[in-house]
Amino acid sequence: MVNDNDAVDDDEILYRRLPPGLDLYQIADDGTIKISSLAFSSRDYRISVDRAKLCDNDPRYTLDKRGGGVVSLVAGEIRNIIGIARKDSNGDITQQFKIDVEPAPLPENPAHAEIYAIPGFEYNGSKAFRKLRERLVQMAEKRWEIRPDI
Amino acid sequence: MPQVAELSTFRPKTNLASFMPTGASDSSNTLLQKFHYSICTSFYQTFSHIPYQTLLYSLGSSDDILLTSPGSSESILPTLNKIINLLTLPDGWNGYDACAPQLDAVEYACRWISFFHKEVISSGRKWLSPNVTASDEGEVVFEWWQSTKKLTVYVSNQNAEYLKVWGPDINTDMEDGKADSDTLRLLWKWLMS
Repeated sequence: MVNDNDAVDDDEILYRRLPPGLDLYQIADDGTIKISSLAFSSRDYRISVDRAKLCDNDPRYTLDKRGGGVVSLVAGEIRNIIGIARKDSNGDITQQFKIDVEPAPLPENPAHAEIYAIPGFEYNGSKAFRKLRERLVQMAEKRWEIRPDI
Repeated sequence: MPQVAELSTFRPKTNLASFMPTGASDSSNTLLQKFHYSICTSFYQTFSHIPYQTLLYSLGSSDDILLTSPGSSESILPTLNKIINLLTLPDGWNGYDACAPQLDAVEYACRWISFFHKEVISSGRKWLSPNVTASDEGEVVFEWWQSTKKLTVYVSNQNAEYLKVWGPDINTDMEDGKADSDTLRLLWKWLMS
């Protein structure tokens, strides 16, 4: 039986919703959908996702009531992101970050998990967080689970 | 007791969405919709009633090409409207936990994008309207995509920072820095090349 506190396996699929009408995605000239890096915003630098295996592998579970789209990510690919670092004014690296995913079940959403950095981005890590978001966007643009109606 | 939606005074440094009426009833929902409409309409009318040259003058961009080439000035107006409309977003606007955009960041972003637009036009290059949204920290964010390149600019209440992305390697395919007057033309040249 699957438990919502089990560690997130490398092969697990994670869903992230993109609400409509907020300019979090747009169609490019070639017809592809470009995702804004702000689609992976998080005030506390912990990006919310839903674990597919805890929601019957159904991305509609994650879909916003108003519509929009759902993309997916693979936990192992997130953990393999390297190069996220804090730099000083000379451009020298002062802190390397490791990216991980862990369960964060909520009463109303047992499938909830969070993408986060070790150590956390809280202290002067916003620039590093921006680069993480861009990398997540690159991954997500290849994995539309529910394409938005535009 | 009847509820009344009224935007009688503008409250600086505050997000307008925090003054929206809330409630679960149909009347509350109707009231909320009217309130949202009144905010958007009032800003839009501001933009519509003031000639755009005057608007851009107030943003500090009047002294050159924006006044002499009105056709080129119009291309920035949709972006300015989008920036102003960010003020209607509440906390959690992205469906998760993003902060509401801050008024002083919105004001600075209007000035910044007008200056950037002026720099692009005066250099003889084509202007592309950016995607406009807000960051989790209340900054205004501009994004441009061109081929495999992406330029993102984060504008807070006092500065602007860019992030260039042209590939997946964070060490070699991404670069960030200050988006100030010394770098704007170089950024656009890179994006459009």
